[in-house]
Amino acid sequence: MLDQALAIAIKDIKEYFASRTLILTVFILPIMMALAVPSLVSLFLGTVPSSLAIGDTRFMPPVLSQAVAALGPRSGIYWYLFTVVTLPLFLLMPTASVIVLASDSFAGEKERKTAEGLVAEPVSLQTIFVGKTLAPVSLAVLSTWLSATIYWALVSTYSTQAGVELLPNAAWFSALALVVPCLSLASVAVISWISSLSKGFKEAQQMAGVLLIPLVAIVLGTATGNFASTLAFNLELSGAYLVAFVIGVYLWARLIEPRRLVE
Amino acid sequence: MLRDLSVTLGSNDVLSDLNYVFPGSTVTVVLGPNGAGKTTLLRTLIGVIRPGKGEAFVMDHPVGSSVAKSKIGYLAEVPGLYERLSAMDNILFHARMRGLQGEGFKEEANGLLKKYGLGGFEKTAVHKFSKGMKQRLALARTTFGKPPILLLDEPTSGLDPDGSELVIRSIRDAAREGASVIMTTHNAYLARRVSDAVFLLKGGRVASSGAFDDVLRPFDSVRVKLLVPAQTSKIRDALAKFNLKLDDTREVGEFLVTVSGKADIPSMIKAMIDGGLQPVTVEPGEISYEGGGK
Repeated sequence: MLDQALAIAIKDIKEYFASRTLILTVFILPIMMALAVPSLVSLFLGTVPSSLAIGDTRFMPPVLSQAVAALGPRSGIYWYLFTVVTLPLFLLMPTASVIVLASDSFAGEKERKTAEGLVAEPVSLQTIFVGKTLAPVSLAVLSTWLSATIYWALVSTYSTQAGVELLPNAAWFSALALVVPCLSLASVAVISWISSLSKGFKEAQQMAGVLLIPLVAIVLGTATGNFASTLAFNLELSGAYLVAFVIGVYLWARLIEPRRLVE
Repeated sequence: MLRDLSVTLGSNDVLSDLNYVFPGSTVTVVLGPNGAGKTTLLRTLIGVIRPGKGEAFVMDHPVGSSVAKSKIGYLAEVPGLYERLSAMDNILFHARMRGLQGEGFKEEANGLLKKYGLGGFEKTAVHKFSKGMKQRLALARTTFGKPPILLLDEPTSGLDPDGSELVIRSIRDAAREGASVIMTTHNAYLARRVSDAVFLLKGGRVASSGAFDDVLRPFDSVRVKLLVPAQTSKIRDALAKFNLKLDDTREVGEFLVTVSGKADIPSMIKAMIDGGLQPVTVEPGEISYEGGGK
């Protein structure tokens, strides 16, 4: 089963790399974001004063004012912008990538009329699912990790130049190591359902936009300074996504008719 | 083997109470008008559609099981090739799904590509292929590994006469080597040439089965291809006997001649030759499903 699932994953990855649009969406855009965001933020941070009056923090969002109080204005603002506000972007990246890739893998096969031949191969639906999960998840995770590495290389450079020492914390490591893979898996489970019930990959992509809604809540929470991701939160979030994935897969393999993958 | 097999899609009973044993080492052509359930039958045998009632077995294994699927080479109505991948990648992916890996299988893939006229295109992306090349590649993929059962849905669709001839030969070769071929076609000429048995479906039920000529009466009309060397009054007169008119622009004419039965065909051909016409091919006309079946 594993060899066949790997064959499906490798075949899907070869197909992704034969499409410029897919590669642009999955690799080029995240890398450009990883380059652009720290550069733009550091330009803005050049104007941050080294000291602030107590009254200046009164109107700051809670997370930022606590950081400024604990680390000082410059370090606090650097920490807030580079480690708190930008973290959810690295959750949006794999989700967007998985939406594009998994839709191509599941609904795309249906639209290109290749699904019938695949279902006719001597493999179970579970094997097909595993193969079609491995391909988008591995590329989405890889692309996010690559972007995060570039991002932190730039952030470290800019912050060191400003006399601030910044390194990814436990929230970042746990987000990249656990939340990103689990979120990607859960997204594939949702897209597999959507693709089985839709007619083409564009329709599947549009419907899969619902996956972004909970992430937008996290983006808004951090951007308004009311929420900062922590190790404990990331562990719980990863667990929830993993459970969603397991339930999604279990129900998909039991309830989806092979015909649904074809028509 | 089909045992009381029924398939319902939505609220439609597409196949009803089918009972049939497909003979081994033969070519069985499934015939029937549009909507008769031909494609649904093949899709059920390959496990894409689950039977609603009854059972179907492939070499004693229930349809849809991995073992049953491993016995079948399936060509869908649409070739269903991975167009972003190369011809060789398409075949090797199919091979790997069947646990067939190694240099020996790569050689077999190369041999099949050559056999189907695709030598030199191993590394070419399939989206650059013509429709006929895609169909031939799909057939090469289907026959890879010599599966004991071939399910072919309209295998000559999109092929030129040479391509069709190649497919007919391959189907016959496969049956000669022991494979059971079950195929659908709308082409009566192909059905008659290639079939050992036909299986006539009407409204999702078996109308009849047996040898082609016993099941159908395809010779109510005959398509005649003529070689016309020059336009002469003699030829026009000969054609007029059959209520035919020579097409001024064509050198090779193709006409549909209605005869009362196949016994009339030799006399019709003789009359044509005597009249100065040179029939090149004589093919059955369209199948009339009405009245077919004994």
